[in-house]
Amino acid sequence: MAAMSEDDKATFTIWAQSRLGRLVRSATLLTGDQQLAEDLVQEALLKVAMRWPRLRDGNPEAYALTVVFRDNVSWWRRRRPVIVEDVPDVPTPIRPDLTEHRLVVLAALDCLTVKQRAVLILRFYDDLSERRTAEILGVGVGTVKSQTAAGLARLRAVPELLATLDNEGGHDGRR
Amino acid sequence: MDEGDVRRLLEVAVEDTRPRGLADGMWERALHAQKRQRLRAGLSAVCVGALVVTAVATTGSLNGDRAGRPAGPITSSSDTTQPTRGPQRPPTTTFAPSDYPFAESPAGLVDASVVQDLWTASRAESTPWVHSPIPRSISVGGATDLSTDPVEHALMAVQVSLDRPDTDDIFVLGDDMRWRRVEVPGLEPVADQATHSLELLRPTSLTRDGTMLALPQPGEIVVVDLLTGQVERYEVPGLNGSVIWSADGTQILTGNQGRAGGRLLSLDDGSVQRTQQSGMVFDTTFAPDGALIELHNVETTKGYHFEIRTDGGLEVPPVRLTVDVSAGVYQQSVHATDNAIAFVRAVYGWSSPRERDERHGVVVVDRLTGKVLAQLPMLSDVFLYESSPMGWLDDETLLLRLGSDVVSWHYPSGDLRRILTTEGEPVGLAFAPAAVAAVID
Repeated sequence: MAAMSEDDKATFTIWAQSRLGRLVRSATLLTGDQQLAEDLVQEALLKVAMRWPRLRDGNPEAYALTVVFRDNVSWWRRRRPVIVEDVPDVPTPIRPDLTEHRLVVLAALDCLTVKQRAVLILRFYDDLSERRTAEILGVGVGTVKSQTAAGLARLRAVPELLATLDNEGGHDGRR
Repeated sequence: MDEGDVRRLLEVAVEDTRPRGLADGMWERALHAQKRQRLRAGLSAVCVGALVVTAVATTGSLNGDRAGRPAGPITSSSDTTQPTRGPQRPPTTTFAPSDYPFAESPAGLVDASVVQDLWTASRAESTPWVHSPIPRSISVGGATDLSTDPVEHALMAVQVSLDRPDTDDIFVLGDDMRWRRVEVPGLEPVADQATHSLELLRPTSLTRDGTMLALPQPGEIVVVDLLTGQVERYEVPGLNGSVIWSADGTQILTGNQGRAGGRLLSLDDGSVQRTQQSGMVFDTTFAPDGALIELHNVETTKGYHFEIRTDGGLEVPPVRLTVDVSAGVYQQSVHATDNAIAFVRAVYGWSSPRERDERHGVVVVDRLTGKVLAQLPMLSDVFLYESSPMGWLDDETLLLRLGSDVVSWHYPSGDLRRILTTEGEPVGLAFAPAAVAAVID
């Protein structure tokens, strides 16, 4: 375990402050929940800090994203829902703190599998290559391609998302 | 909608997200965590040292001392002169697993002889193929319609996303090695109670003999008779995230991972009963003898708890079985024979990749005692998304999905054979283990 100096602290702090927003926003898209996203990012930052002497000259952001996305799988599998006698079969209640656009996008992302969602966010929000995405998720490039195609196909089937695009004038009618 | 549209949608959706000062104090926390790790490593070294000293002392007493005097006969305590230099020391403090959440529990330490060679993606390439007529890769091109061309038995089912972007299609492979398209109009996406979408084709959708296919739907279960192509819909309240066939194929247990209260659908009369499940049920399976086996609890340092209900989960109190190996989070993949239970053991969280790799994997335990009979560890990268038992081919051979490979694993001998690869990435995959076993050597 490498020793951590004051210089390391300064460079880590600068790096963390500059990347924090992007990481939290990426994790928010991934989880649909800003609080959970912040928890994931906090754990990721701590792991980056503990390995900073080895990571600082490499790609700490990729390492942080790896932690966020893999720990999210962990959380998703580990989740322990509240036990109720009979779960009401109703959709998740709408959260007033979210804008309409955000609600539509998050709801559309909920139509995806965990893997499709992760792939689309890394490819199209974090703007990573297929190869880098595959490395972060620990899957093959072929998986990234197929999950990208499948995820995009599912998003195209969400009418509310298409309506949002139309309203913003960014959709040329192709589906 | 193209990739540019998706980029913009994602960008705008979170543009107003303002994180709190998460980076504040992070460096100090990291320093503190490092100190704890060093202290833990030091304690471990001390314990190892103490064990070595104890072992040397014991060996010395059995083999004679340094002066070359031979060891005396092993005597009972009544024959032995007690030391006179004060009271006996308490036993050496042993390593407490609760101090280190990913250590094995001493009481449940897995016998190293049952831990088999690590499965890696590269190992798959050198694994021999099983002798069988099953195509080694999935290609549903040229599939016929099940309604006009039914099967005798289906070996497997896949859900694939084809060119039509809004359609997920389901196909079955007959024991004549030809694919059929399963036509069920009006299928809706399914999700668990946390609204995460699930594959419509569940890993347990096929009966063991491959004659029936069940698909969960909100408020109902769709059952397809693969011998005729006929589709029946049964009203079953709830989200219905899972479908688990009884051993005789006459009942389906449905429910959702992590919630109490499954529903047992009888195909004979369409009746639905609530089972007596209680607490958090992480996964359920039926054994061939009809017993309902539930994975009830997973505690990182206290192992896995199964409850076994011999009457199918209706009235008789369950037998509790504790598998005392340190547990990780769980993936839905419990399968049982009359004598054994197989499941996936996964470790995430604060463990290092090396710690994860040593403990990820498939575990087979004795159904009566909980003793670990075999463990197939695997690298976390192979494991991460799609590795799990898919059913038992016979009492000693498990059908496993390991990353992109499907293999048979004879757990007593460790013999692994490739059956097929899942190139093309099917969204969902299910097998009929008895039908598969009938066509492989």
